[in-house]
Amino acid sequence: MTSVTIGFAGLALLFTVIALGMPIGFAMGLIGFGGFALLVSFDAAIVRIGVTTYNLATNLAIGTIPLFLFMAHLLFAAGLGKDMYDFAAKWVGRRRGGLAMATIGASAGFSSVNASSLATTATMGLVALPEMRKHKYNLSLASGSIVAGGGFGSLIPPSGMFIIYGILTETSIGKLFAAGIMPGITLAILYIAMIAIWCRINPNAGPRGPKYSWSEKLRSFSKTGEVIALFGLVMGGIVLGYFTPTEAGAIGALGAIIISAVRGRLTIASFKDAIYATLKTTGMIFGILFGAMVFNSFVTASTIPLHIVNMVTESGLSPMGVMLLILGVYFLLGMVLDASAMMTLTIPLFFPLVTSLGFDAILFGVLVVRMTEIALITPPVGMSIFILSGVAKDVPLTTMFKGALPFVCMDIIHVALLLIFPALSLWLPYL
Amino acid sequence: MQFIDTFLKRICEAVGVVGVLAILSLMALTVVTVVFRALHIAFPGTYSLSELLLIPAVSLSLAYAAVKNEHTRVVLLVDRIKNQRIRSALHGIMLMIGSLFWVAVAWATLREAIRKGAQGELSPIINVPVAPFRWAMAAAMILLIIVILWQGYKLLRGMKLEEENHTPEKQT
Amino acid sequence: AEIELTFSTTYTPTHPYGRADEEWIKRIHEQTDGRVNITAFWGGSLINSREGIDELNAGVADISYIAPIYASSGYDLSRLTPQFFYGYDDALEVLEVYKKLWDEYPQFAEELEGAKVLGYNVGTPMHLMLRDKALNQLADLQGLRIRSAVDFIGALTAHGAEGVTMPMTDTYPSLQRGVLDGVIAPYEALKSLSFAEVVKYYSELPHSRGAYPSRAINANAWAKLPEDIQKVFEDNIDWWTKATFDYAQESEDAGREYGVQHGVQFNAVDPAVIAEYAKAFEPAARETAKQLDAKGIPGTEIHDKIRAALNK
Ligand code: NA
Ligand code: NA
Repeated sequence: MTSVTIGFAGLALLFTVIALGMPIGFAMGLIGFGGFALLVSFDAAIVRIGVTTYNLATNLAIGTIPLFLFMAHLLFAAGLGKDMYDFAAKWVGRRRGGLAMATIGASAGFSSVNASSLATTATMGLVALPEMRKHKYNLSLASGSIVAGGGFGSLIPPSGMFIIYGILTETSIGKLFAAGIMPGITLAILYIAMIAIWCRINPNAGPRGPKYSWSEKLRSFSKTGEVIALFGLVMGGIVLGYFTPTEAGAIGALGAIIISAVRGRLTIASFKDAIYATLKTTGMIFGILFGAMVFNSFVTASTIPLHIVNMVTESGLSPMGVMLLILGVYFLLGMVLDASAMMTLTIPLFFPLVTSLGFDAILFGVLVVRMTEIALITPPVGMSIFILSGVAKDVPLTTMFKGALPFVCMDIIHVALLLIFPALSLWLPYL
Repeated sequence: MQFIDTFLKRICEAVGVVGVLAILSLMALTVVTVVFRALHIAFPGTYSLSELLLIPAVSLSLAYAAVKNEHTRVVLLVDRIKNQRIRSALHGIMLMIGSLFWVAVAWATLREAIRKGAQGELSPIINVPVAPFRWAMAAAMILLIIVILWQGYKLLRGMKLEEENHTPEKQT
Repeated sequence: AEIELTFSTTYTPTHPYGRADEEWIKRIHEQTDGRVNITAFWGGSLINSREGIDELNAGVADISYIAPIYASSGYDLSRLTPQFFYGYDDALEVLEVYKKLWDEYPQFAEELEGAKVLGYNVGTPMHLMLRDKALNQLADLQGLRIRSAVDFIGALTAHGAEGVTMPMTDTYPSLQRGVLDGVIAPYEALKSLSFAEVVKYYSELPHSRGAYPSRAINANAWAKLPEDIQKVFEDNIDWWTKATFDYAQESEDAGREYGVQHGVQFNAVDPAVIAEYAKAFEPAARETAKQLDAKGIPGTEIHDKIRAALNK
């Protein structure tokens, strides 16, 4: 059997055992390990798995997730999530899908204080999902808007993905950060439009809330003060250079403790609930991450991605043809690979090709980061979806994937816009 | 039976306390570092220490989530199996087969703990031996495996997992 | 091809090390008349860790970029001797001294027994990049927070600065916002890591990187190669080492040029200050040498030989 055959057999087996109900992290890890052992050797697989899992368990960039989760659990326990969504309900709840739109906005705002899509999804999932459910939102729409909004984490600076791209390609990180802003805003508009369309087609998806008077609306501001203060603290601390985006999780969690104490909601019981819930959700999320990392090694070693990349390199198409082919490849690879693996595997080979064809390195960076975000929410391996399911155990994965699909359509339109109007990305960085 | 159940739960709760403390220390350490930095007090070694603290936080959380039966899985197809016994047995078998992955992780972690321990691996700057943390990770993996196997066995015998809170394909 | 091998590196084909690797792969293919075909995995997609040498030994890839200096334990000589080159600024001289040590002390090759070395790296010195103020005197270090490799932290502390071992991905935002005052890095990082955007000053206070084995083939894979192919690999050791250095030097120059374009101010540091600073590295280096002695490795002997050779 060739490596490629083993690779495809492994993928087929993965889908089979997942369909038979094996936990996703277990399935990816087991097939990843077994496949790697078959492709290379048992010894190599043991060493690879040891190094990969230990690196994951000591990775500070991913290690920020438990602290953001803790913050979110505390905010939830203190009723801040409820107050925020009550506020949103008063102002935009009258509009169909208004709370889902507010979720998009909140995700974009939260993304300006953290560098990771997964952390954004986990945090927003804890805060937003229970509230949208309470307001009788369709679970697909609710979870779709959360996982899609999570993508802002990597698009709106600071962004871990842009830094990795910048280091891999020696492209200006400052320009990449600047390039993410306009696409972030346009994407938010597209997502909001999509929610409006969805609710027009199915009015029950995001039902209208009651109407509120202006005085009620204005009074609702009073309860949002703490959230604004917390956001201001974290944002201000990053901008003024008191701490890094990675450290923001810890500061946010401390801030949430203080706020819930001030509110008189911090009992020993609620604190215990929040921290144990954090431990549990951390375990669920890392259970999947462990498996995904090991699975990545197997897919890499199968040389399937290399073959696909070579096919693109030797396609002899026009520059735009090559670019479209590359985006297509990212879409396909993104179905089964984790975002960072996708980047390290393909960028070293695609980047020289793309720039030699005359494309701007920064534009390509934005496109690639967009494609890695899409990868997070496409089936069968969608890390953001898995993360959300980690914090919303009772929502079936299929419901979430269904909910993400319309947003993926918007993503495709968005990527097309970025390609047709490079100025969207390049205007700010080259200002 | 009941005895094993209670025993496992007690252990995982004890372990949970350690995991919780690790997460809280991680937060406290970062906050202290940030405050010291603002006061221009040098506090080197934060990164080394954070990496070490992350090991129990992450690996113990895995065991804790497992004992709470929190595994993310796709139930679209298996829920169509009407026979409760067969469905439960299939779930048990899948857990037991899947646990092989964690056996591999545990084995790899143990090997590294022994090898690196013999080399006297130290955490940079703070010079703390890393070996105990690697052993802790290995122990957490072994506990995780025991929990999964026990759950698999219970499912095979047709018993209910206590904390199963998965509601299949319910739409609002 | 008759022989299929895999090659793994954490770098990309556009990075100086990667450029040398890509050329080396082609050379081997040509010089073996197409009998050897090497598939490359770039960007750390196959082996991505500082434990790369362990992974190579286990056969995760057949050939790999290795960096025993970043291993967390083991490989004592390869990992620790780079510290003994403190204060130098002529990379090629360092390389020459280092290669002689390999000939003289079989312990260097023995500790890497799972692999056969195919190339060496020698680092050009790294310097001090600063946000707010150039460095002219060692007193200027007082109170600064600087991202640094572990080896330099002792010297920084000795002069009142704080060394921080932050991950590379956090370094750019930290310099941008002032969480850090500076970073110890080479010229090329001005461009490759975009540091020219976030620092204003580049003070040429050298921090040595020493030399280390950087490319190796798994011992089993090596043993399986026919002798004539082995000879081709061996004949290319010096070439690979030299090509890596040349491309790295080229990229150092390009990095400096890029810094100039971005308005980074470069300043040379008084040789007396440099010599004074180098002294701060000696206690730690001697301590490391003693630790090696205690393990039955001639650490102090090697340290003294290196110092004598460099001070000639
Ligand atoms: Na962000
Ligand atoms: Na996907």
